[in-house]
Amino acid sequence: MATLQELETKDRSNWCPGCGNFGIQAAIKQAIVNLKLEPHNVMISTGIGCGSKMNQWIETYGFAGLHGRSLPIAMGAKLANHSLTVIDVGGDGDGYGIGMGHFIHTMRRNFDMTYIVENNQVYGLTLGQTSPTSEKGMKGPSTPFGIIEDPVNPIRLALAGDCTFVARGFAGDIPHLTSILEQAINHKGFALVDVFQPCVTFNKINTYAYFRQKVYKLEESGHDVTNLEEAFKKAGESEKLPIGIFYKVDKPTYESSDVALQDGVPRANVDISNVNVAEVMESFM
Amino acid sequence: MIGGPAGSGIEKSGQIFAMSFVRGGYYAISNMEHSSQIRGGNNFLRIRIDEVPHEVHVEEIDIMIALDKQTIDEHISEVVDGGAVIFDGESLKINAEELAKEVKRDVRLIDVPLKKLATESLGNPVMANMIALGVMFGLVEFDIAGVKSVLEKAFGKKGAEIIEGNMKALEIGKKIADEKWTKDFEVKVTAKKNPNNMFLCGNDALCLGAIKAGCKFVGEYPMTPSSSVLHFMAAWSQKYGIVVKHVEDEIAAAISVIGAGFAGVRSLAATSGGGFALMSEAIGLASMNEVPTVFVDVMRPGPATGLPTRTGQGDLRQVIHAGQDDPIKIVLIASDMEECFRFGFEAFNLAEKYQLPVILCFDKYIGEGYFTVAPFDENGMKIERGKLLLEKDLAKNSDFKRYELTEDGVSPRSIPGQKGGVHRATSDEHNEHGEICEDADNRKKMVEKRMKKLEVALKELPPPIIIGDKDADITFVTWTSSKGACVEACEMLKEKKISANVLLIRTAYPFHKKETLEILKKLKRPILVEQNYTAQLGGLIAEHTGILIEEKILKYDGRPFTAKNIIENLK
Repeated sequence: MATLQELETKDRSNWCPGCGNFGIQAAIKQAIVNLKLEPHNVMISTGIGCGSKMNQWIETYGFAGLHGRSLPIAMGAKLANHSLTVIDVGGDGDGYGIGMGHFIHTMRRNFDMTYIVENNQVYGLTLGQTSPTSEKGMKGPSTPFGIIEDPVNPIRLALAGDCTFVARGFAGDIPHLTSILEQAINHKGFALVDVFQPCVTFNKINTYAYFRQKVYKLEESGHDVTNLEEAFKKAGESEKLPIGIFYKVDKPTYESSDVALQDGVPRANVDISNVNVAEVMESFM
Repeated sequence: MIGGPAGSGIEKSGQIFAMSFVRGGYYAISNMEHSSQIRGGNNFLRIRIDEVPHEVHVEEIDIMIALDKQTIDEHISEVVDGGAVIFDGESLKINAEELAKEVKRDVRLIDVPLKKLATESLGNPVMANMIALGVMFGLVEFDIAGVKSVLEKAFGKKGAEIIEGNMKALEIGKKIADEKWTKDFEVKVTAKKNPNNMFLCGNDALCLGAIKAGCKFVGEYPMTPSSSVLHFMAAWSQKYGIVVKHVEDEIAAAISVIGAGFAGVRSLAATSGGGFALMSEAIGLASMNEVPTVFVDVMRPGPATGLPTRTGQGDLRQVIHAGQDDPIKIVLIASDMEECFRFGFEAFNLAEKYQLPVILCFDKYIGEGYFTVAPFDENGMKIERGKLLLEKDLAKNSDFKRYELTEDGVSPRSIPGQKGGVHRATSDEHNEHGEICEDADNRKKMVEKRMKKLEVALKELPPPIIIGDKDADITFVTWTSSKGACVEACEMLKEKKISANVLLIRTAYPFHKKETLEILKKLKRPILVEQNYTAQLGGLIAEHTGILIEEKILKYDGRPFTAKNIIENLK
């Protein structure tokens, strides 16, 4: 069982003061504590970006890999040891841009893992370019005349991609986000938690004030999380922005269906000291 | 040789044919030359059978089964005097008499209405191939009873009807041969006692090594000619508890392998040149984060589609240079079944002992080519996991440093789930604890630490070897499957009283600079034999030893070398 103090690293985070990632980090830590998880049984996988620094500053196992490729790391680790609590954290550029292919495919496999996307609608680490979720017309150094295309709607994408747990949080509401994360981690399957994360340095549109004015909680609006059609409708709302759980369904996880894992033993714990291959050799005779 | 349109079942019938001889006590090798088409286009399977093992095919053909006209047009010149061509004149619209006039040599033209017989006698035109095989077995007086056990293994208990049909087809063929041709045919291959040898391809041998090594995760995306690694591991996944994941692309393959390796499972990703290019960034990551991983590149020419079903040795530079900056890795080269197996096994030990990516590289000719070898000796094969700690070791250490600076550069390692070993791996330069640290002094020490591992590892990596006589007038310097053709060329030269041997390079990175230089200094006439245009191995040798081998025999037409090719190119 971890305490918040045990999850502190010696290193201190270097996000800009006021960054939405502080709220997300606080919620992740609180969820780990509330769920009584052991830090050594938690693995946090990240890619590249401001938000992908997340695992450097939480005292659990962690792997910071390539840009957009955090999910394949999470997949490999989960299949190697399905007893681990695997949490993947990345930004919108990481997951909905360069890593979109992995996002779609990892989601449909329904591994028991949680994917948290710090969605700040901008590229922060590379100094303010527009991202796949930037609002149409937003200007940045790579789009000085305003971005032409419509943004990706990650919630609709996840609903269409057969994601078994689809939620959205707000970095400015830590208790609410913590509650979502606890449910996401507890969900037996792939859970997407897209998080509105204000970037105080580069995104002057989607600010804390902007979100505070627009967000409302799905659970307070009587939303039925088993109604896929209703979830799609909610995901399309733009005047007011719903946060909370859009959709949830139980389906067998990938690891529970893989023929190689039917004995339930994590592959990392299998004794490999003396594998007998006589039967394979015999098949060639 | 069996040639015909793609999709005509050449490979399957050919493998049954070759396997029958293996069970009959012979050494068979088979090598498929495809055109990259699922249907149509000319494919041919060359099978060489002898009482002694060989590692390369020959161009001369004793018996050719032609299932299309193109096979005859393109290959009849390779049929030896006294040889035979089995074909269906009626279906292929070939007049045997006219063909005889064209050929003008002593080649037996065995015109059999294969399709008609198959349809009329067996009710299935597909059996035409088996009738042709029956003719062939008849010609060489091989007892077809021995084929039955091969069919039984191929089709299993449920296939009784299929087996019976196939046996009938073989008998029909044999009868045709016996009636007219068998008596005068000189080449005879009569069955002997089954020595229980294996008939397998390099990809199979590699998989055997990987399974033996305790590989429990395979992340892969299909790419010819490496795909059979994915298929083979998937087929055995349940039995050996190996998670085999056909992922969305080679990037996910390489990275999931890193994820699994980080989590403490021996993991493999096999691919070919194009897929390997996509894995390059991941290999740099595995190097920096010091994750044990094994990658395989089964080489063939070209990018994208390229020449997907041909062979080549053009990826040497690609594999040794994979990754950014100065990435550490080990690159091994396999040249035969034994090495595909041994290096396939050893790659996993090396990956864990030195905590880095190990790349095993060989070409399509041995990757997909089938050879006959004795069962591999498993004695002395030991799993070595290096400095992977147990929880009780971690409990003794209150200040665990995942990237601790040590004498051999290898740090103690923990895996997720272990108490006391919590750490983060990151591609940012990091300090001994794994924390991001770009301090200049730390950076220097960490680069040196990683590089030190290569220096230590080199001592146990397969050194260059001389095959054949110690002193020779000519030395063929080569790598991967070309070894087979070179060794046979040496034997042919010996008959001409010319002494020749082979220098085989088996580790491409790091490089055995000292050992290679010592051998090279003594060589009278080294000749590079490679299947690429730029003599990539020659370049690598020059880079490390300062010796540029000027004489070269290079082939880059996508076809494998034969011993004859090498000798013909010798000035």
